[in-house]
Amino acid sequence: MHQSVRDGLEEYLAGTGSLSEGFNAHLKACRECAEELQGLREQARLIRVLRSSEAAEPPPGFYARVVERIERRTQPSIWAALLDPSFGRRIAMASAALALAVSAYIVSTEPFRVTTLPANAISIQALSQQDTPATAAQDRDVVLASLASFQEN
Amino acid sequence: MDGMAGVLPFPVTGARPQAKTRVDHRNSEEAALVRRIQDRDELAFREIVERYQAKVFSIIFGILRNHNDAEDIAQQVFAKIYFSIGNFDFRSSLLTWIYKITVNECYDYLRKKRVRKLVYESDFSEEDALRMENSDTATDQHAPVDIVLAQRDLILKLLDKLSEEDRVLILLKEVEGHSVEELSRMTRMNENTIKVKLFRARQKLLKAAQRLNRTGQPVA
Repeated sequence: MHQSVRDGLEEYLAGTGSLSEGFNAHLKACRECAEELQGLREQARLIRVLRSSEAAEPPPGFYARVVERIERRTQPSIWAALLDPSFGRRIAMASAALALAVSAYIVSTEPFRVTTLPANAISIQALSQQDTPATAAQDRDVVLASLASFQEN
Repeated sequence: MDGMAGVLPFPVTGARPQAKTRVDHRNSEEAALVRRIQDRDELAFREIVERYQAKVFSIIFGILRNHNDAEDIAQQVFAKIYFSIGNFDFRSSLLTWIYKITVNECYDYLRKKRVRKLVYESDFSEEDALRMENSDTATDQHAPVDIVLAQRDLILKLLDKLSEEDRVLILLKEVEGHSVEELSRMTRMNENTIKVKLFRARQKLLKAAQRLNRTGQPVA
């Protein structure tokens, strides 16, 4: 759209004010501008469809409901309480203490026997043979192990 | 209602909001009212609500044509005003600011509700399209209701393609009927800037409408 038409466009669309001679003369001479102007005029008409055709009065009690909405948004939620640093720290410490207590309880009540494993070769061998029927070879081995580990006091 | 004085829990914003007062609007009566709200004066907020509620409802109804949801959106508008007033810097008039919030809330509502498919895209006949093009009146009194609805849906969809600022400017000009001079005072932009912005916005709308005609789907 040429500048001479652009300059008067808003006044033309509003239907107010006198348009310059240059504006009108250009429109007569320039088909492109005339067509574009027609499109913009129709567009403006379409936009005006959004004008409210009736006076819209708010219903009674509107302000009170606005206040209620604001108060709902400013009330702290449970999540805000959990995310509060000091409260969160207390929760974390309480959780850790609880975990520790539960662990200690579990450990203390576990039903198992602690047997001390023997340290020397004889005992280890004896233990391994505890539940197996003895054979002559095994007896000989036990004697040899005993002799080997004998320490004179 | 009287018991509400001083009840509203103003949002804790830390330091008192520093409004950037640079304008003609700075010394107006309205600016004093805004400052009172920024200073946590609930009665001032109530005054703003009572002063602008009819206007807000009118804007919402003009765009949505829906009484049921109008109050919900209006409540949201004033709640947003309440929580954002600390950021109002008097660069524009209060009405312009409220108008922008209202239009944005309407568009948020429309997006959430998934605006129904345009009648224009599916059932609009060529005869109806020609009648729409040739109609000279702002609202064709004799057009069937479905045509008007289709026109409204079309223009809402096209306006959604504009930036917030351009959309508000176009609506203030065409729907509210403000002149370029008035818009310049309201927005603190000079008249040439207003004209350029309006022209570019109109061009964008034209192009979006042409794409819609070609493809049946508006392109961003």
